[in-house]
Amino acid sequence: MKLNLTKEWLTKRAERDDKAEISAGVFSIDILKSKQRTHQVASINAAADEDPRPAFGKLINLWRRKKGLRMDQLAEKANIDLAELIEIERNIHYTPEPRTVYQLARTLGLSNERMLQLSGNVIARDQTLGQEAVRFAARSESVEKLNKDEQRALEEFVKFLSEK
Amino acid sequence: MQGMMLVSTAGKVCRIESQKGKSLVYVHFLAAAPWNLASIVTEPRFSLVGSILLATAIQLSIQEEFSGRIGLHSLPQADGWYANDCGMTDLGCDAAGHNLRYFEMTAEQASEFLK
Repeated sequence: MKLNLTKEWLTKRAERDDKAEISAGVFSIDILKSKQRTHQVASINAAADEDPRPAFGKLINLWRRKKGLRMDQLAEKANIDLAELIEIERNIHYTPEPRTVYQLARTLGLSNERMLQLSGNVIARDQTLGQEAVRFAARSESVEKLNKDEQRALEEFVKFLSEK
Repeated sequence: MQGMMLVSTAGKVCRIESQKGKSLVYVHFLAAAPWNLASIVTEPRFSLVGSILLATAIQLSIQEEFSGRIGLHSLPQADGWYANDCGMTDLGCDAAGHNLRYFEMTAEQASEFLK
């Protein structure tokens, strides 16, 4: 097989590809899931309080309530499945699909990488994320309106995620 | 190695109504090496890796007599690139493909991409 790509074509494409993160494939997600399973097996004896996932659901829940959004409204805003959003907020051990995490990260204006770590999709090298996540999850409770402590916890955690 | 692509030339067929059921080259995986990604390094070593890999998939499709038809599931950060910069048809989120968006390229779109 021979590719006949002209210099003009390469120049034109270079302009369009500038800074684009090009990737594709269900296979990529399978690798991610496989790493996640490996991580779960490897950390089976680790302390349960290192799991950052409860903080992910809590972050989404508090952020949504702070913005005064119903679950269906956030699902629509982020272009994600409502059933998955419900699962994220209610099941502390749920690991959402990477696409869902990406959409939520974009909606919240936070780093995709940090959100992937927080959601349990990838392993965080930086242990402070797990510690901050646990501290955050412990400080917030599910009530209709955010109290001052929850408000402060949310703001501090969002600040931490934005800084890293 | 500056990037990697995994494709299959059998077992997948087109979903776009105008070419439904016809054979295509399906891209299972496409990625540039981390040192070529602007999101990871400040000065990527090579650009164009994605475009060249996609052109290769189209060329393979032509060689297989599939007229350049290809299909793939995009990762979210690349959705816009496949839709706007490659002119592929967005068939929406695919529950069978980890809810990723499925994109397909027709023979006409492939010809336009290679121009």
